[in-house]
Amino acid sequence: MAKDWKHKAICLSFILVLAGFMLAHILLPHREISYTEGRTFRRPEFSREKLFSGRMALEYEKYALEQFPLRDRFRGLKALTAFYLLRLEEHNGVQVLGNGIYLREYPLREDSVRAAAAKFREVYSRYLAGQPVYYAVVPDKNCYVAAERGWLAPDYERMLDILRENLPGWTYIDLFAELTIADYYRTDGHWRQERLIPLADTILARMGREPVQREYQRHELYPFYGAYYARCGLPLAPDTITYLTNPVLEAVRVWDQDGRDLGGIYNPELFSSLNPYNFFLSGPVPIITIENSSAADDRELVIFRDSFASSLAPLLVEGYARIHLVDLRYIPGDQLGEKLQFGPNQDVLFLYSIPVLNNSSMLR
Amino acid sequence: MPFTSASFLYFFLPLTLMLYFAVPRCLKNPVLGLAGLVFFFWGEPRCWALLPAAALAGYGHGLWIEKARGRRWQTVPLLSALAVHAGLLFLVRYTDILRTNANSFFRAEPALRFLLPLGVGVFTLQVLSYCLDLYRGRAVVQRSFSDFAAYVCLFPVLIAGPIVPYRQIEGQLRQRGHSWAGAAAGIRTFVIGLAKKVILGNTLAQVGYICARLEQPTVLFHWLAAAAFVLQIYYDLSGHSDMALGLLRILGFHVPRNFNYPLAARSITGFWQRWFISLGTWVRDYIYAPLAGRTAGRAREAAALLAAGVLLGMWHGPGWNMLAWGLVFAGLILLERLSLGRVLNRLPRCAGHVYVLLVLVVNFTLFRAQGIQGGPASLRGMLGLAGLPWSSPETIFYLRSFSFTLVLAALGAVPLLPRLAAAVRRSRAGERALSLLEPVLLIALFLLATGCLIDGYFSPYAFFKL
Repeated sequence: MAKDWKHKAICLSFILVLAGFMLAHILLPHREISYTEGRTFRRPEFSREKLFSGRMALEYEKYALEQFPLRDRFRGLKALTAFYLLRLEEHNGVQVLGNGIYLREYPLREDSVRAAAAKFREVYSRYLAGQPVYYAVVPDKNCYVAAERGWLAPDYERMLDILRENLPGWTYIDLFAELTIADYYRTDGHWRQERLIPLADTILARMGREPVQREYQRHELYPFYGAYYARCGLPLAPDTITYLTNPVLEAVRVWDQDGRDLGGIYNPELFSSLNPYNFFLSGPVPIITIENSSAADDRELVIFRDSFASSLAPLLVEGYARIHLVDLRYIPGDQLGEKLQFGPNQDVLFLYSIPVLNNSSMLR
Repeated sequence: MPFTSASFLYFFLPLTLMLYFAVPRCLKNPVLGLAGLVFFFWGEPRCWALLPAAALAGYGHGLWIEKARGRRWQTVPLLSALAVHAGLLFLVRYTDILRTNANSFFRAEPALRFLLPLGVGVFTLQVLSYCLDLYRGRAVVQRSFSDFAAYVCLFPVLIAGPIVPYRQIEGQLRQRGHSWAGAAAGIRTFVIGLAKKVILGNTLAQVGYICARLEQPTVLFHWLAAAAFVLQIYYDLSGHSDMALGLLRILGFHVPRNFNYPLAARSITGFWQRWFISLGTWVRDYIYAPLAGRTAGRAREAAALLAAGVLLGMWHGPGWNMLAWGLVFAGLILLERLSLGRVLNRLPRCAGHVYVLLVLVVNFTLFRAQGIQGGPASLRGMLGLAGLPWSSPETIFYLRSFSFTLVLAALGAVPLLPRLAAAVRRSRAGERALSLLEPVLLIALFLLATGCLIDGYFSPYAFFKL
């Protein structure tokens, strides 16, 4: 009798799960966007050719998985299985420590770092030869935990040595000692703007600018699901973006390489986009100019940069009349002269993160 | 359509089961045949006609064999069946390889690629078993096409077997019972198989994936990848077999188990008695036994064994490396029969286990290899002859990362859990606790496996399409 009950319980619960998810799948509306995964979903289009070539089955399977009811919960279940049941150190290329998610950048690709340095030299000598030039490496947040946890991490010292050898005469600004793991978002690789004020002061001082006295109001945006959150899948609490404003930052003009006004330092609309970090300086734009009409002199700063500079540059605004941010991932170095004027009153800073230096083929 | 897909689990399966159990008994086989065709079409639409053609050809050959019985030309229909079905298998598996080799020898244009249809190795052997058994008088001719088509198109076995000989299922095609107990047992087997494949098999597959992309391979990593591959293919194949057996049980069929903890064997002979039992039995009954004869001499027995080894290798996938893989096993079984078996029996039990595991790790390197050169290259890496470092921080990291999974997989590959469950069941309280827990655990495991499928599409097959 007890066994009969058990058999019925097994069969009925199995049927319930199968039929329940099938019906939910059919009845639930099509989901076009996932903020937690930072991507959009597309419904496959039916065609006879696709059906008979087998592509329809593949596309439909992908779609069925993307639209699966409780997808985020199931992804979390898989991540929990990987990290806590199977005790894997890494899942989908990310590692977890406490509530923080870390992306592994390994091994050090020396050729890539040399190629990046060559690209920097080429751009500098073409447009800015003779100007004071500085370079800094944005540490990967893995730097602060990898050794302690026995995780794989590139040889940072070797990376800096290669840059030193290949950028002779350039002034290096060390950011490693200025930062700690608390200065980064938990679910993203970027640093937190509100914790960068001392670092911005250090950079300004190393470039010979007078210390700037400034105060900021703090504002918060929630929830911020960082890029690593999407890969990890664990049901962790999202981050909060804290951004800083003051009358100077509110008064600056910001425009892109074509002279289009970007509306200001921050772009609130982009916080609800697939990459909320694009809130800072409107995300990936080839050239951005920030003009501070209240600057003490007419000195300008040219930053060759990746996305990390988007949240740092606002904190350097008070030190310069204009800051030009050039992203060599989106504009070829030999076309810069058509879009930007270079002159003798400019400081030059090459500010790149370890992942970009280690994968420098993305620099154009 | 893989079992480990949302399309199968949450669309095809519930719809098929609903239809199957809703229709009267006389329509159950047509529903099964139709479901098999849809399953095959969705998985291999470019060669959708192959399965119905095989069913038609098998059915026709059956009638022809029956008609020719007792006549002078009674072997003609059998030879025709062998030529059609074995020829088809050879054509799809080996024509490309032979042409590629010939073309590279004559420096000709690259070969045309043949598609490798899903399950062709399984349904071909099943149809051949029908024709051979019918010819030998061990089975009765099937005059109902829908019953025969249900047998050939039986979707649970199309992915990776088991190979169900016709005579084993003949009676069940006509009449089979359905019960809550049978369905529950089927669900249990299916869920366990699914979990074996997607939780352990797919995780172990990552080791090989990483190994192929390492910037600096090491000797230790080669061993790690080889050991992980043995476990991976065990979990992949036995997981699929379990899923198939579970589905068959839900549909009312009783088919014997296909894997019986082969990694716990103490000899290669024992390994093949526990590994893919239905294939081993098929090869024994239809290849080895007729070739070796009842009172065969050593030479004929050896030739029969090597022929069986060649077929086993060819059946598992196309490539000369697969032939070599099958021949190594056949050679070792022969050696065990000659003298090695006696030596192993005299040694402590653990010596047999070490011998089997070592052979598997080394020989499955051939299975894993890309082409005939890949195997020796991996073996050189494992033996430290490729100039590789012994270890590296990356190797240690991955060894540490996968160590728990490897231990878990190794424990699951020996009959520890069933013994533990049997021990618990001996007490009334234990039996009661297990009865209460089982439905909950099974559904939890099923949802966990679903979770592993939902995120990402990394669900590789260690074995080729069988």
